[in-house]
Amino acid sequence: MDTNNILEVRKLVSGYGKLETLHGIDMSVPSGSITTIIGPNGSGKSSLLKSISGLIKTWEGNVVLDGKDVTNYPANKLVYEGMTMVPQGRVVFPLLTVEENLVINAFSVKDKNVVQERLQKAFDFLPILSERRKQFAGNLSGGEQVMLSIAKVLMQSPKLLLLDEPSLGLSPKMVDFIYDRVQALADNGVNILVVEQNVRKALSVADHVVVLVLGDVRFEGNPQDLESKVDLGTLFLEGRIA
Amino acid sequence: MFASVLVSGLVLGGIYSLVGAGLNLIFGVVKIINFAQGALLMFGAYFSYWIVTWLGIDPYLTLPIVAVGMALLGYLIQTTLINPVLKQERTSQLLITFGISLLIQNGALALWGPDIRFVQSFAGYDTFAFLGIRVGVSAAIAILGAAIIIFLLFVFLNKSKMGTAIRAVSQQSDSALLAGIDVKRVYAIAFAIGSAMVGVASVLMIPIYDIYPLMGEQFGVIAFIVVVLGGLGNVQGAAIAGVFLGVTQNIFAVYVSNQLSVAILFLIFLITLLFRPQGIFIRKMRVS
Repeated sequence: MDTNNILEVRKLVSGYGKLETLHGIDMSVPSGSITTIIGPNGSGKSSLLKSISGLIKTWEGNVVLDGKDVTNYPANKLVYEGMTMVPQGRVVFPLLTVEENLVINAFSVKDKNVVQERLQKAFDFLPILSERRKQFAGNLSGGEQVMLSIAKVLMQSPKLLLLDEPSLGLSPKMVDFIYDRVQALADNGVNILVVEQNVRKALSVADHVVVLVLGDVRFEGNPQDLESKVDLGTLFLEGRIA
Repeated sequence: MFASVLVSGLVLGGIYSLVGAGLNLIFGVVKIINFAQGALLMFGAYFSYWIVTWLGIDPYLTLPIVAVGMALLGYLIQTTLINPVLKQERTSQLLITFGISLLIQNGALALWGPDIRFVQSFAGYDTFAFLGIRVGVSAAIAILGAAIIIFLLFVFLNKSKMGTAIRAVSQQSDSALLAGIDVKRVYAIAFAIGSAMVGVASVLMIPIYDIYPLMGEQFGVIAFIVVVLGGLGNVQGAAIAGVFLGVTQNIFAVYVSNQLSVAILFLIFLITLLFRPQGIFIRKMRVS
């Protein structure tokens, strides 16, 4: 395998119930990159992330994280292996306070000092959360909840972060702010795999792009090559019509 | 007169609170309706009874053994019987706890017969004066014991790491997995705590109530009213609702009609479902 990749997905097949939605996916996340998966609705982007992160079963193929085969590891075990995921939508614990939400994400960490250190780091990273620390997460605004879900990542200090549509339902200004924070995470050495509906935004931050259409990879490479080699419009339309 | 009615109502209410809060914890976390809660209460009572019979110790001294034993039993039920059916359809989940309930009840009938048994604690029928009223020692122990256990449950759920994990699982189980929490284990721990609370309830009640194989039925059913009144998943609400129902039932039994005293609880249940199905108590500290 290529040791320059933090994540490699090989011939991955998966789906829901009996319905196969991913038909043999090959892709990788190069070390030190922000990789993005784009594609039309229903192309299997979220399924792929869920399959990689252990939330749904991988039927065939392999998921290799930093050289270790972690196919079908349960999601809670993958956290210990250094992979973490922020799922789509508002996925904070609504009736836990902001602080509890952060601390619980360090469940795998035994050392209380480390937890406190990371908590401080998370508050420095997104200071607004510090002001809200005693509030229920369910009382935060949509944007603040997304911020909280991203700050939670810092509690685990992962090797690889999977992000599922962080821009969903946010104002353009908030999207810019969230992506600024995602970039800051990457600058701190976190490898990032982000699924995004907002193609323009995704391409503006990505070092590596995967285009997924109807459960197949149609392009993998750097964003500069994407426009010259692929007609995105046609690809997206194909997904629509089929 | 009214004072002593109130005291015995509080005893009953304390038992309802323990059984109902345990049921609500299990419901809030595992999202399963435990029809075996009443049968487990009966089993805990026999568990205590046999220890008393074999070892000749005071029933109250069996409390730690029964609580731990019931917690282990609950843990086993969740891991061996309920976890495997969680992915299946809702009816399988409903039927399995119903099956467990039938198994325990009929097992008790077959093994120990339908005879009514009782135990004698050190307190006997002793009473003491409190604010000018006579209070039974065992009644006071039951009320205080229930209050302490409910309080400990709150502290555990709100202050400890595992308690926070339990609340997290009850709110968003997928996010809990992604936080690194072993959700299936948390299910088992919640079921263990719910069962241990029933165990405590059974030890507190047997110096006052008779022991027989169907003794849990009424409590199992009323636990559902406690849950609905307190709000699904709301452990604190369940604790308050339990006390309210116990006191109401006793007052009604003494001043209106003994025969209708349980019926009034179902009337309250129906009215709640019609007008406030989310429960009547505040949502603070809710776990669902």
